[in-house]
Amino acid sequence: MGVRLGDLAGRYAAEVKTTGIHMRALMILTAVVSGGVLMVAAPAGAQSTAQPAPAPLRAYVPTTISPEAAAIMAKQHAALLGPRPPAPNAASFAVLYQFAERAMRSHEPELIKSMGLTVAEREMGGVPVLEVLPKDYKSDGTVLIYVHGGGFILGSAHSSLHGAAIMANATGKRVISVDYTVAPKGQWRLVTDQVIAVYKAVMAQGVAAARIGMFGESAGASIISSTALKIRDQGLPMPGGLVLVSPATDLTGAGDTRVTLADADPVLWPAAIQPGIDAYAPPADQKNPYVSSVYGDFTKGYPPTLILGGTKELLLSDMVRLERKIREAGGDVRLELYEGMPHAFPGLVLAAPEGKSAMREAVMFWNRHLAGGKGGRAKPQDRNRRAHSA
Amino acid sequence: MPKPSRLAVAVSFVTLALAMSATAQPAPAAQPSPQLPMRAYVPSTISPEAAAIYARYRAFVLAPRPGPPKTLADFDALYQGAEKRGLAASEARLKVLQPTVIERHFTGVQAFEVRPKGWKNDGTVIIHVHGGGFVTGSARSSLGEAADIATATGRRVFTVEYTVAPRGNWRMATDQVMAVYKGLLGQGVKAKRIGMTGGSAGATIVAATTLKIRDRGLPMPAALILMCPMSDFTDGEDTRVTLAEADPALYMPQVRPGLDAYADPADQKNPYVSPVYGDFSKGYPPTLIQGGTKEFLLSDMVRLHRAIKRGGGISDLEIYEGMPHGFMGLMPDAPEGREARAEEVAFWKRYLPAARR
Repeated sequence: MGVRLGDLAGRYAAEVKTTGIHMRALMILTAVVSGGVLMVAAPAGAQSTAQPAPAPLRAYVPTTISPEAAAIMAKQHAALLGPRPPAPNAASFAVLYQFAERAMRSHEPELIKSMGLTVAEREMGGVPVLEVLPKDYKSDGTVLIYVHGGGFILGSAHSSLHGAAIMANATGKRVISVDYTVAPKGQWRLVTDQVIAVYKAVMAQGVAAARIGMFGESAGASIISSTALKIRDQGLPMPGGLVLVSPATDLTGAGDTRVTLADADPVLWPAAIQPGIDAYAPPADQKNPYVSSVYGDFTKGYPPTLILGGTKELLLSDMVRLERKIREAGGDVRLELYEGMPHAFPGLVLAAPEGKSAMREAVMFWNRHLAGGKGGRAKPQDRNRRAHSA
Repeated sequence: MPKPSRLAVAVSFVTLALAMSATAQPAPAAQPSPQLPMRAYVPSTISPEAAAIYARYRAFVLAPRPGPPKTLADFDALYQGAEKRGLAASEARLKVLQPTVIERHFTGVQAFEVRPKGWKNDGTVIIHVHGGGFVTGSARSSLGEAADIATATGRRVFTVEYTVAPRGNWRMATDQVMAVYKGLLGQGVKAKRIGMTGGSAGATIVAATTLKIRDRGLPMPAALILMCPMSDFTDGEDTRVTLAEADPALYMPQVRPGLDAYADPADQKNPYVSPVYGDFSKGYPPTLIQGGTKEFLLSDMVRLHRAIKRGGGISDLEIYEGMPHGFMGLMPDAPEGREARAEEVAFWKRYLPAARR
């Protein structure tokens, strides 16, 4: 407590260095979204003086996750025992943004080198993007558009390179990471338009819509799920498929697990995410489907969608509700939940069986939905003809 | 779709069975607070119909959690109470649906064959195993639910009279379900024309018995539908803890004695008790798992789903917003209940097709 941001950045960078690349997803979402205070709220060694308090629900690690995932969670344990850090506010957004960028971007060169990536800044449709090519890239005619997370207020294509890179390397595909304008400067109208502009530019390169996939985690997944509705409503051909990791689909904050799991979620809690959400979309707009996709009309068509999430997420209801909305409208959607996993887990526990399984689901999904694409408008699937995978 | 029963007690665990005696008391949805426990929280994101049913059970949910059964007499009293309410609900349902009910016996195991009104034999059969926390319920008191399934699907349903704990146990219950399955095979019904389903404890028994059927070298049933299954008798899962206070229907201290009566703690990692410990790479039928976000059994469902998929099998996981344990039976008229039943019918159509004639 009472730690200056400068000290915090140092501790944060040290933590990232010692715990490795896979810690970053959780780091950016806890340490950064919530003001960077988490890692110092209860530093190891500072607990011995106080009477041991019962561990809060958010620190509970079930015995039913893999040992690999449990080891990663264990590294967060001390931090989770402390009180929740203060929520961000409009005054702290810019500071937080800079802090997150500095911490995350410092690892970019090492990431590019270790994963053998080819990374290039480009502009597509007037929007800055980062083109990420995996090691030994050979075009298979498909392209993935990535929209990063960060609570709508944080992150950039550079600082989220890890998210784009793991999908590029898992699939061998070209990934275009949209460097959209985060809130408060960039709001939902602008951001969804920016993603559409990039999508159109990819099509203008001769890539059929059905061979374009879109993916993202957290706020990025929210943006994708809404942008797909906007693409459809504008009469554009829809992308071949969407992979949504831990999307928020109702930005009003309604939902069963928004309450029941609020204390159990180790990464997010309502007070931490709401200021960023309100900066991205004022409350009066929060039921607009281009903000909260769950309010969309899915009977007019929607791309095949894979939703990945964990049982620890307060966004579980958001995912369940989107899945049911698409399905009830006759769409092709699958919800893959993982035991004991937190928000945006695939990047966090990539080397654990849970992370591998989630990436495998994504790869199989792309293989099924992008491989033989012929272009044109995606059709709602017969509810009885859902594709299955091993 | 028929007009289904208000309550199909057989799908539920002990507490939902008790819920039937709850007094009606309408109340608005509210945020939890020290005055309002988490288990009474009703989100704004469910259908108005479902919210109205929650309101009706509010007094029950808010009442102090009942104590656990301890003695054989406690279990018997629990059984008798549940049976009385279950039979009444079941009989009311049968009056509406007018199925044909035929008593059958398969090597000493009783089952009721339930044929929907206007039944035409399409060659398929659904075996139904009732719920009730492993300690309550019977084939007779689950006739209403069997009739609902029969009417919705147009298929004949066999509901099995297994011996509930503490008089029965996992070895006996899975053998009894298997006896009915083998009996049907013996009558010339092809395994690929047999589906199995159950709710809650019944779903657990179906999932476990299927592993046993496979391990015995018998052909496996064509498909399974598991409503709100428990798949692990041992503690240590995520939502067992994180949703323990949020679950309006089940309360582990009250459920636990029934679990231990059905399976000795030393046996609780046996796959025929806790199917999540099974080896699904040896094969398993296509499975539909349905549940709600309010269930502390959510981890049970997620883990079973992943185990089946990891083994190379087909599994669909359908989770419903704000729904409690056994919601299909508790609120069949609400959109959520209707959606779930429609998913079931579609699943049977896909994986339990009618015989070609």
